[in-house]
Amino acid sequence: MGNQKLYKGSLQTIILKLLATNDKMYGYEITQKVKELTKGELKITEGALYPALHKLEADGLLNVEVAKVGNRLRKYYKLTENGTKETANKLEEMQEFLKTMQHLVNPKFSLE
Amino acid sequence: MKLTESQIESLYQFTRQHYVEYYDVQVELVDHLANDIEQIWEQQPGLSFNDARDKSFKKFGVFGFMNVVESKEAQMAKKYFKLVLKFAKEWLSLPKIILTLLLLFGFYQLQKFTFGYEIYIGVFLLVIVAQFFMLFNNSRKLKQNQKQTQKKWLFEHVLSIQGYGNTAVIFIYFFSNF
Repeated sequence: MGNQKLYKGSLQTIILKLLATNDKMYGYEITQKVKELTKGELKITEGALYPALHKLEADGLLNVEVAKVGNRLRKYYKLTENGTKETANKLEEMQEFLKTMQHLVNPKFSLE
Repeated sequence: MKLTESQIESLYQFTRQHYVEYYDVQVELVDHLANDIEQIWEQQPGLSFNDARDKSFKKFGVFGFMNVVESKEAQMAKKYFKLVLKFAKEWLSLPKIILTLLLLFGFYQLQKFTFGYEIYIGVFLLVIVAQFFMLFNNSRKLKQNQKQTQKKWLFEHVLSIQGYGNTAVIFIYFFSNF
């Protein structure tokens, strides 16, 4: 398991990207999906996930849908139109970030 | 193994015990805990419901559900101010602005009367009484509703808090008049 702190600033981007590919998801599903995709390398903590989701909802990037599943209610999150646009922006920022980090930690690449 | 109806209900109680008062937040947390407990049972089928629940709750960290409630409150406050802004924008139409300016001018002219200041105070008192009446009425309705449905909604709470704030502001204006 890597250093979880390194992932912290990317949480919103990760959530947006997941919702862009999966249409609608609920909180627990997001934690499981991330675990599965990263083979357990990244574990989103519950204490961070929900505040991030609420923040994105407040910013108008996510919409909420409540559905009855079995004997309980479930809250699904979905991208809004703005959310879809913002996802593209954030992913672009992320690519930039990765490139910059690559240059910083591996200076050889900058000699091209 | 799926959770039973009564176990779900006990999870709602559990969130209430951990200071999650609002039903909208409870729903999300109960579903999360329930999913996690079912997952834990797959790996450790022998674990009791309470142990599995505590194990799941530990994952929320030392602050428990506090972060989740706080972020939800912040979101609702934002929603509230967006609503206020919407009303403010609706007010920004020419007839309404003219009416406001006329009222303001008329109010200002009242000073010329001998009883001008008494009229000011009278109007202020009237507004305060009306505000109090509405506030009292709303909070009584809210409580009645909560009693009937056993549910407390965060946004309704935000609205009533802002109502108190509003009345307080009018009070300040009133007393700074003397």
